[in-house]
Amino acid sequence: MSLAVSPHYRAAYTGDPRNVPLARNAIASFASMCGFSESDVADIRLAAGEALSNAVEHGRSMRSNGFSVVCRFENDEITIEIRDNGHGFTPERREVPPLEDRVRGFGMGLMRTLMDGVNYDHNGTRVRLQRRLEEPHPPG
Amino acid sequence: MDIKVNVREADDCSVVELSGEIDVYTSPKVKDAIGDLIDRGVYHLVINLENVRYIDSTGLGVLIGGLKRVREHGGSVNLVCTNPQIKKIFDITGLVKIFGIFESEDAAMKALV
Repeated sequence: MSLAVSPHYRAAYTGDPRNVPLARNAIASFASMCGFSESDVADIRLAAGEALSNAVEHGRSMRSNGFSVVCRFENDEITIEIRDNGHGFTPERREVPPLEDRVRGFGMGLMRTLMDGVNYDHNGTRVRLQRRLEEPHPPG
Repeated sequence: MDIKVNVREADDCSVVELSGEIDVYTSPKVKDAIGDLIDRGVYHLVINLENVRYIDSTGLGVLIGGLKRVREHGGSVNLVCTNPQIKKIFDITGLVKIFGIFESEDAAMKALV
């Protein structure tokens, strides 16, 4: 019987915005360790950063106490799950204003362009990002 | 994981030189620096992103907010950006259509309206 363990990273952070760069850099290090190229790691760092910013912004509520991050690498695919305890939001129902008037609202488009999968559930308090490893690189 | 903001006066504009990472934590500092210039009547800006290693949607929002404010006064904002990863973000979001993006400060200053 094989008891092989997939690489994983798990951490919980307080909702302090200063934890956003710490968490995204931890996720980027995990992606690099999994063999993603420097360019892919930059994409993953940005997509994860957007999700983390959402977790800190939308997670601000009386009962919010931060966010958690779980990363797994299985079958040549990284899955990043970010969860907060806030009130959530409805990502699909937002109206998109003209480009010149959009001082926010770019995060979802960036995540969807940079990752192979972006899924929200639990009323927008949990996001799952997925990206396949096409060509393994030595850990950076 | 911080941002440094350096403002220089040029002939017909101000140059805002940014170094570091622009995100939900650091973008208020950038917003304040740009806002202070506009409050002082500086409506032509060159924002140099050559030493920016990371910018997210919060940072993009700050740049667009600055552009909107200067345009109300007939001003303009040009960006200096040579990092392919940062340029890619402007491509994905379509912001290449509303910002002038240049390879050098000289080119960005000459192109100010």
